Amino acid sequence: MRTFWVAALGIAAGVATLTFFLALASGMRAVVFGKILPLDQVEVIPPESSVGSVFSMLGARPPGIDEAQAQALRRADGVRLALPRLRLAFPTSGRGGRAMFGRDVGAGEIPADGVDPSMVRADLRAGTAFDDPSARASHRACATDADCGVASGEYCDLVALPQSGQPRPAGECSPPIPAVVSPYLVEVFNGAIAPAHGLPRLGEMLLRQAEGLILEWDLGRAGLGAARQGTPRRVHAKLVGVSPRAMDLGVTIPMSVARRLNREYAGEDAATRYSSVVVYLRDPSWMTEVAARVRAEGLEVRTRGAEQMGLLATAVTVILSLASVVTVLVAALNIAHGFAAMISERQGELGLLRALGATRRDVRWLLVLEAAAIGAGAASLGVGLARLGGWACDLVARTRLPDFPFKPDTWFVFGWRSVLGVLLFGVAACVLAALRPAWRAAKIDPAAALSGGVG
Amino acid sequence: MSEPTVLTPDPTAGAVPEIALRDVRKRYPGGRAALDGVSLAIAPGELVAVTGRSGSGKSTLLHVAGALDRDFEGEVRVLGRSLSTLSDAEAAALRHASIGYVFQAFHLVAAWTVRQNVALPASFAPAPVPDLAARVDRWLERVGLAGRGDDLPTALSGGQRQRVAIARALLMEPRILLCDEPTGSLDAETGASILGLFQSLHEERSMTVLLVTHEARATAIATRVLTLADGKLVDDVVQSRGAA
Repeated sequence: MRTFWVAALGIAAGVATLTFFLALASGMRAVVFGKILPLDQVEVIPPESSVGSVFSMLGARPPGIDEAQAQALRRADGVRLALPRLRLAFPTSGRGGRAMFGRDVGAGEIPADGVDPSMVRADLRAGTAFDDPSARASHRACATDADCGVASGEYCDLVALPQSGQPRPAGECSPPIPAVVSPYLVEVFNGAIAPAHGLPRLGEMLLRQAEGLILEWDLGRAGLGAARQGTPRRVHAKLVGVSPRAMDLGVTIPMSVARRLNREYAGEDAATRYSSVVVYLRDPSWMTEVAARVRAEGLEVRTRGAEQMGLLATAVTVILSLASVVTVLVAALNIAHGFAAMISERQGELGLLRALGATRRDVRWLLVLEAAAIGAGAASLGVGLARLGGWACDLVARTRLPDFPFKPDTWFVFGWRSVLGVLLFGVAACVLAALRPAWRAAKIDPAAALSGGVG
Repeated sequence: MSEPTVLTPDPTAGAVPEIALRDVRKRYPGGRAALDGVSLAIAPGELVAVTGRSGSGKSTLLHVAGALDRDFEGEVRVLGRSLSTLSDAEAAALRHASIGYVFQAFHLVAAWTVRQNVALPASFAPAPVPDLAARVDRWLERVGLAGRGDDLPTALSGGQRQRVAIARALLMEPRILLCDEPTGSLDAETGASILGLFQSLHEERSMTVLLVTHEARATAIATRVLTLADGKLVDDVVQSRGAA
């Protein structure tokens, strides 16, 4: 019997590892495809956008997506929403954060894009303005921010950057440009930038404080060069919230502002042709069909490696699961051995059952059902062990691992379908292992089994 | 003892035999004869003791007569049905409905209560047994174990365990009771009480009882005594109770 129970524990161990790895894979997929690379959305970009600068240098019309193409995408089957983005097509740099960090944090290049306000409005506090501030500006003449008054919330928007030794350029009072950032950027900041520069992480509380943070942007001038047209100047942007629909690594502003600034610094084409359209699918199963429709429109899909990540995750899951399956199968072989030994020990009992009226079929079923019950018990124990292991790993990760971008609260997702599947697999392995011994047990000679000798 | 002293007596002349063997032969794997041309007929209501030395074929005769062992030559008819023609399921149904077994080793399931052990044969009934719990309690009371239904077999003495086995054998109220050395594991006093129980059950239910034993006191309660030697039926005596 010892062999038998050891084998049952083997089933439990196999089921535990299988459940554990499946839950880990599900957890990782939830993070990767739920937060980092969402599978229910796809970014549509113009063809060969990577050589856009070459087009520009040759004086050709740079790649972009026009409104007609955006409309076609909105009408495509499987598309829930198609929201254009307009990338700022000129150099911009910026700094800010003194109020929060005690010093300014700067960036030599600030990627930014404009989106329709409806895209992010749901992620902002009620009443937060996310539109072109020029419509609300007092337009009072000014030379410094103080001329506009702190209480007004406006700053002095100068027509050019002030030069030392030169008269201060003219300006007029205007509210800052509203801007939102993505949780992805916050994670990158918390996981990589903040530790490297000794800055505090942006937790929930600091994020609330960060809303209202003023950033100074130099338009038309950045570390890598200046805009081809327009006069470089400094504007204020105000962080008004965090939205998952904001640009991943950059800042998102209202579409009308991006359009106006692109017109000013990069020309009419840059103001009217979208840099990309984010297409939200009804569900991930539409991916292939929508991608085909996108290509039919002469556009491309930026996959961001989601498919490759998916394949990699699947491959790792399969390898780990196979190892677990092998464990279960080895345990099943032990179960078969244990069952054979157990049946040998229970000859008298089985003979009695036959004497009391059990048919061979009854004996077979009895043993198979016993195996199923043992398999269910062992598999349940295995699932319990897996959950315990997952909980322990989460605890260690929470308390011992340093923070990094997208560090999840839990690494495991125990979906009921996979748990049920693994339970059934454990039961099936036990039943299969018991089939041959059960068939043999049904054939035992009840007379010999009962007497154990001759009279 | 090479020749039987009395051949196939028929105390209930005219009745169809409950168990009938005709020229039954069976060999052990080594080739030695377990049963060697045994013919006999047991009429309804007989209490037959089967005696003989160890290895004489007593238990084999019991197994063959009880449809537990159907690998033999010759013909065995139980309740008028030839065992050779029965399928496994039919033989199982015959055992379940018409034959009760009591063994020397009791064969109780140690992890089950007395009541569960007694109720075990009902598991193989083709339909639910009506009033099963009441029936179990009735039989426990009849064998002197009223109130012990919730005990485990390990809490009982050897004699009490054999009484549980008897109650289990009689649960389905069979017409034939086959007993293989039922007192072999019991002390003299307990064995006597068990034999007394068999005798009273036989009298009140008029069932056919085949009792394999090598004890003289067991043959004393029989109405007929068969003696086997080397697989042959060498003696067949009809007697009045207490004659042995």
